Amino acid sequence: MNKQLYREIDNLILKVLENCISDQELSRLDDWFATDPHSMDYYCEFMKNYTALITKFSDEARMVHQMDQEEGVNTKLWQELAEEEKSSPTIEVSYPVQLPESSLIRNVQKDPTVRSINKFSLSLAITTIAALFVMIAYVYLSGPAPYEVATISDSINARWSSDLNIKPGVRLSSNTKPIQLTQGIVNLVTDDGVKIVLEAPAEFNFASYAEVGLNYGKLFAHVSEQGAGFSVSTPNSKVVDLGTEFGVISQIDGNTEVYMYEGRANLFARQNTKSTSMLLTAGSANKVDRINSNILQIPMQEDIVVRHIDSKTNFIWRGQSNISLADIVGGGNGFEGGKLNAGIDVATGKTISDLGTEAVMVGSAGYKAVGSHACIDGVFVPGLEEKMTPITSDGSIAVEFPKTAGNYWGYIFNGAFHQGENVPRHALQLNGVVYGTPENPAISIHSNQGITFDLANIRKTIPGMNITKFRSLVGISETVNSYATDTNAEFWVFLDGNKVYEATLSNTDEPVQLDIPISAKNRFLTLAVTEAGYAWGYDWALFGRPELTIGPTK
Amino acid sequence: MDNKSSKFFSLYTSVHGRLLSYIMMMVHNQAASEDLLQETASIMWENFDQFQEGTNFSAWAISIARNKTLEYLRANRKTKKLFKSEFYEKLSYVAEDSSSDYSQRVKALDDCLKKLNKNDQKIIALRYKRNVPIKDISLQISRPMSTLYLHLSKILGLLRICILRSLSKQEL
Repeated sequence: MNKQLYREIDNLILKVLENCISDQELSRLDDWFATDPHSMDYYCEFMKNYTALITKFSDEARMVHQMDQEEGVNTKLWQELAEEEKSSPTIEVSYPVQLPESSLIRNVQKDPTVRSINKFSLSLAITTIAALFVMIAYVYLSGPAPYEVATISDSINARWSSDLNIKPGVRLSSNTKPIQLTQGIVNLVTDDGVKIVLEAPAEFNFASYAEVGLNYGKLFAHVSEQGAGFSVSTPNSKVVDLGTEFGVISQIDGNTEVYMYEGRANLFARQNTKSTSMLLTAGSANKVDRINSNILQIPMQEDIVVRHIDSKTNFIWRGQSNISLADIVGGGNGFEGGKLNAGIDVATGKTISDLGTEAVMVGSAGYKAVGSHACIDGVFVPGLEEKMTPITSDGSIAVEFPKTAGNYWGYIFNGAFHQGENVPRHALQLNGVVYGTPENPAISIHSNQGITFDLANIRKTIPGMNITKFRSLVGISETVNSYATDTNAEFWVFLDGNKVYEATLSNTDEPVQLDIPISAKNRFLTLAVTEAGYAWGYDWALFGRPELTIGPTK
Repeated sequence: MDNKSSKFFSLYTSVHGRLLSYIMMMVHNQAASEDLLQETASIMWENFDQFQEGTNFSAWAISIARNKTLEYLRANRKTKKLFKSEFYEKLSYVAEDSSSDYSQRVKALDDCLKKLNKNDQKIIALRYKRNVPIKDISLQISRPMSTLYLHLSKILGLLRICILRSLSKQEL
């Protein structure tokens, strides 16, 4: 086989692998296979080398490709390569490679030798062999020696079984007795870069840096390309990762649940003599039955395992994709803790727990900083200043509102109700849906009031995450129709003082779904409602399910 | 995990590379090979009770892979560009013997990649580490795909020669 033929065949096989071979080129290969006795061996050799190459890079090969200028091939290089193609020297190759023939040594004559055995040497040999047997027996019986495999990187309220003193920075080893986490949550990182979050009560140990046994408890694993092949074993199953994020719950009663958040994994299930397996894909959830090891599909639950913690802020993330601004207005952290009907008095900037005795207020100019919650910068009554209304506590940003009467009802609060002299307290609605409930939280902002959230401080509470959107349904509660026939209000949304939404909505208009992108640079989000046309009464304005969409920083 | 399961995974890990090599020879498509490897592994796991300890695990694994790949080729005969059927029938046995030196090749490849010049290493990394399609590379640098194919196959040829020499030394 000559060099030109090698080049041609290599090129054709490569095109087969790249799925771009023409019919004519495929026929050329078919003919070669049929006529050249060495062709099949050559083909196998090419494919073995190719497989070794892609296997070596297979972990990185899952990355979304992007042309990295630092690592890319510059144009000048390709020009040189193109020229080189035209004038490349002949490479002499002999095929197949001839292995040197081993020369046989024949008819060797050896003189018989009489050996005397030294007693010391003999006893040393016996002792050495005996010691070797003891060592082998020790290794065989005691199992593989433990070695360090992972590091505790963070924890919240973690407690361990009594004889353990494990804290952030401590290294864990393989092949130890099972470790019991009796309380709290811990973050571990294996030496292969696999991030694991464990939630108590849990019992686990590492077989190696690539395998953890979970006797019971909740575990989340984020496996990068480097750690692909990482596995989690429970008493009746094993999940082998293929580059992914997944959660495993090993229940004390023996059932195992696996939740696939990203990527793929193989699930092997075994009980006594029965074994089954399944390829798991993102968005699926399965359970391995403890009795017969059947693999059953179950509903996916995004927030069933903890996926990220930060002890500096006591932040625990279970995969929630939103922060509730209503919860923040109610005094919570955006996920929980916000009290219904709690809110901010725009006259003082102070928090109040419910509507005061005086509901109808006369507003005063001036921005009121809210000191009680770092995520809320302040509140204000828009349209009272001569020209611009300040909307941040540092005075750096002011926006123009139409002149308003400055009167308002109530306060800005987490919830959705109205109550007046002739209006009994009742829940507000948009599109027939009652708001101010755990399923449908809301911020009530009767005209003329406004509130500014500090996105930078919100980001500090969710380290490792970024904010991508503000979403909310806005409108006037249709319950006003029983009390007023013609009411409307103007809704405003600003990002760092830039108006991103403004609309006048009436009691007969359909509510509007807002979906406003937020960049990492945005600091302040301002929501405001003003009267439209100097009539401020019955402006029962709602921001329904006001949320910040969040996701992990990649 | 019990002893038998540990044994399976230990045996499977030792033949994983050879199995993938065999399947790639048969179906010459990376994505299909990975899927077929998973299916083969699943069948092996489900039928591990039938495997007789002490017999050739690798041969048993490849026999399952042979059936899966031939099944795949039959199912895709009309939709994919494939060689003649006789080729695969013969290849299914030749490839079994051929795949036995896979692990030595992996070792040899590591050294051989280092011997490539820097630019060729970059090209290999672009295509196989970063998974940049050849079409995208050609668009980026305004060169025809045919030139890239020729150059890439030339690099693979250099690696082939280097690996052969390395294997020869290993056998001495």
